[in-house]
Amino acid sequence: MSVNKQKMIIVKNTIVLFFFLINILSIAGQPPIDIGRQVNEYQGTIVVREIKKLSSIPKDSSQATIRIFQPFGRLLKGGGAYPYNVLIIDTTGYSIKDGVIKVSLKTGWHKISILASADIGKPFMPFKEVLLKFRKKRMYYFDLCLPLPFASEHH
Amino acid sequence: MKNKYILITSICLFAAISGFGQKKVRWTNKDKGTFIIDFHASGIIKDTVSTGIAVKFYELVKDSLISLEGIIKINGKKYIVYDSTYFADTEGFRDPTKYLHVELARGEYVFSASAGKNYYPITTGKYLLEPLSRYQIVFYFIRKDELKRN
Repeated sequence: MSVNKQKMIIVKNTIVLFFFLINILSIAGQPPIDIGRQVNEYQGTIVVREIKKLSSIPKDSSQATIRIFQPFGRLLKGGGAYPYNVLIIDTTGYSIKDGVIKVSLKTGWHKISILASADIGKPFMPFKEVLLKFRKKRMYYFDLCLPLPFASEHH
Repeated sequence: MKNKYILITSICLFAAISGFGQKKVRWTNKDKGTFIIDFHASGIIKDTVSTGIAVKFYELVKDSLISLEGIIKINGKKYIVYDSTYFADTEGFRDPTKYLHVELARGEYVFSASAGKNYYPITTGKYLLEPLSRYQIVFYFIRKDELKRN
């Protein structure tokens, strides 16, 4: 093995060890969360149901069918004045009327988040922004399951 | 050659730092199971130095939720979580005391939930429990074969 290759391996291992240590330290150093302060913020999740390749979709695009559940297991029927949730894809907002949103997206990375109006003394965000890669000629079916805020008066 | 190593290290560090704050998500349901904590009114207060924790398991199926059985480890100690739907009375009311309900002393706890080999397990962060409170932790599981790829 050449000297350069050995050096490269050492550098690679050092980088891996560095990130491993950072990971360990960041977990171990985290202070415990006071259960009385848990409001379920960002506890929403994404459940991927189906990914289908469809030839009818144009070459440079993909499609997404997104269902929004809030609370978990109940399809969100939006349209009310308050509280409301708005699905944000990149910089475009989609109002959630019957809980299902169908969108056509260009292939590539897209940022998905929920803008929520619920307030628990501060704005309550049920879902943490995610970046998803949409591949060409694909149909994506996924659910966003959002929690309701744990009301502060219960604490 | 030395500069090359420095450049590679810098690129890696930059990539790692710039990636913070934005969560790239893969098209898989691994690690997508979640949990919520809620107020729990039921449960018998046995003493004044403990916190009551009720635990429920559900599967996030396509259109609703299904109650599940499983095992929860609280700081490594195993408890069985039963499916409460078996305990519904003739009028359809469920007896909430039939859920797993544990009394825990003040301290830091980590909860690891598992509903069998067909579901992705879920682990919470570290929680500090204060006495004289009642909470329920509801875990939402996703089946490993939930995602269909065609």
